[in-house]
Amino acid sequence: MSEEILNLVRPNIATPIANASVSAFSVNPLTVKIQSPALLSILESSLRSEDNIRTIGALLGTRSDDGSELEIHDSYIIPHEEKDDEVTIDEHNHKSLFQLYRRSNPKNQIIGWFQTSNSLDTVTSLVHDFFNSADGTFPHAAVHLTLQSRDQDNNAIIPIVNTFVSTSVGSGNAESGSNSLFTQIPYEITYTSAESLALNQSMNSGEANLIDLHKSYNDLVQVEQNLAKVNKLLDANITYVEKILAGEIEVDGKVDKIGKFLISNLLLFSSNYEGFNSNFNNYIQDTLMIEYLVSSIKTQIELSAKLTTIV
Amino acid sequence: MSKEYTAPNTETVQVESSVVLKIVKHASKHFPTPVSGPLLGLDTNQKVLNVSHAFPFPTIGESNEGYSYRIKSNQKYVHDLTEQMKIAGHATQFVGWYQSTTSANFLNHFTIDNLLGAQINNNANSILFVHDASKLKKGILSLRAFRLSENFVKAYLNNGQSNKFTRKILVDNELNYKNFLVELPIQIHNSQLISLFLNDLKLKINEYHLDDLNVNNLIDLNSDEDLAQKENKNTLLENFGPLNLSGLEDSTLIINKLVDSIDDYNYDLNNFNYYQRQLSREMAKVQQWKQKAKQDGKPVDLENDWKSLFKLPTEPSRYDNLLISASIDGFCDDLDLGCVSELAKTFTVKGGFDN
Repeated sequence: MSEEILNLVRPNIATPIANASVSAFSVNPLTVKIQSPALLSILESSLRSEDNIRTIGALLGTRSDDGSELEIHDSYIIPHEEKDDEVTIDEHNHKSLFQLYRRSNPKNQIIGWFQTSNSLDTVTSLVHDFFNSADGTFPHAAVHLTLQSRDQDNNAIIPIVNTFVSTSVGSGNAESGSNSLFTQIPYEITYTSAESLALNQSMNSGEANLIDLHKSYNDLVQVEQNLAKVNKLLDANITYVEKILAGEIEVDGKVDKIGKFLISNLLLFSSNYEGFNSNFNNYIQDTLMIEYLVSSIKTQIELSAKLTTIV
Repeated sequence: MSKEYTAPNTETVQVESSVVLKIVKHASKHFPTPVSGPLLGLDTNQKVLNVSHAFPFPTIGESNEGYSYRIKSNQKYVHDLTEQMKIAGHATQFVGWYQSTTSANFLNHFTIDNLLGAQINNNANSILFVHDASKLKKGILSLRAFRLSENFVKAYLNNGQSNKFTRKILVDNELNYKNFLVELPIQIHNSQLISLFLNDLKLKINEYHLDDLNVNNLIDLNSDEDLAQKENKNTLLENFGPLNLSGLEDSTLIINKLVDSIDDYNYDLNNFNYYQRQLSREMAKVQQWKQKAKQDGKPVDLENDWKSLFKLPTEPSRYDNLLISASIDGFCDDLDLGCVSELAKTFTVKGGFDN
């Protein structure tokens, strides 16, 4: 019973900057969701950072009613200059861009900012204070996202994304600047099924990182890819079942799943194989019919165009 | 107002993967309402048009597809956007816009007129992205880039900036419904960083699947999409909704549009036939008059004088015909592709079944 337990509470949004104006802060842990288009545009932003100068930008998105769930929808770069421990942000540009982004998506608010460097230094605190102010996320706390794309030796690495919230520590004297304590919070990348489809296509890149989309038979290529995937999955499942039959793997819950699948789908067909077969053939006939009609329309249009241009 | 039109010097379009995602996100969010938005990018000298940013238009005027670009507030939006992006240090300019649509439905006056305006007044390299959002359901990402052909723009300019094309203009400029709009090859460009990231993601997901021996996915074959969506990791790589044999149901929509287009086509053709009948009637009269003049021995210029006496009907514009033909052709192509992929799926199932 006397085991020592260290209980760490995940940071929540109960670090109000102005607690008077907001009545109910959630005590739930803060979660950040990054929509995949936003993440990709942040990644692309980091390409613009030249030798060791970070790029910073604003994160746009929505927060849930209790403020515990943040969703990042979009981002844009804000020009800034660093000189020793001082930093200047082009506030005007930032405001105009925000207004422009907001016009096409009124629900988006500034919810934080990102930088393409993983160092949390004085500049970070200064910029963070800026985003915590009235021009930023006030009265909510800003989220900070870091993107590390190079290691200490300046080699390119797999990009690492981290999200943080900050807490003021010490006297709260803003003059010194660096009085923020950044705490890491978990994040999640979200995709809709449509977005995952696009991402999937983007993944199929070859050596030159280019994917052709224009080919007229592109549609068919994509169908083919899908079918090939099914084929692979079927193979995997057959191997799995065979292994069980051979006694190599112990029987577990997955077998039940396969069994249910077989019973619910396949047995149904085989009990009425004839009917199924004729329906199936009818369907093929219908498809072929449409194809035939469509191609005859095409021919007629072409013929008509040829005939009318004879002057 | 109009700058000297020079032929476009870019032949392929490279689009950043984030742009593709943004277009897909915007379109699928509003589906089936068509949406559109400006594209920013850069035309490099290497015959490549690079599209690096896409934004949704704030005002959606899509009761007519392709209309949004014309709206004043949207034009101002594009202007402000390019200004601010310049200040923020992006080397970008307005290079066109994207439109979501169903099949070839985007081919209408608004789209073509706007594209014409952009190519003449803005940038000869302007392009139009067409994203067929209805295909997403079938698991197909369709993004195509179009530009009006050089001949078309020249014909338009030489015709006094009018699209009242007669047959002569069409023949002289070698224009037909298949070549007035040129499709440009389009490529998704991943920066090294993004491909690193994506490959990492892919690896992670594959691990997950190997671990699971893919059984869950097989079961998902027949479950609805919601279930698959709950398992986020599943959806990213494996989503079999698209393989359902339902492609033909979606075709109904296209067929309806096709039928509408054919009606329009016939209407236009009737007008044209009417003109042809009028013309031949007038020509017969002219012949008669010429004969008579010859018999009477009057000193008249047989080749020219009749023109003051008879008025030939003006030839109706073939522009509508061009557009409608192109859209019919587009609908047919999509139906055809739909059928072929449907057949591919059907025979796969049948093959599995016969075994």
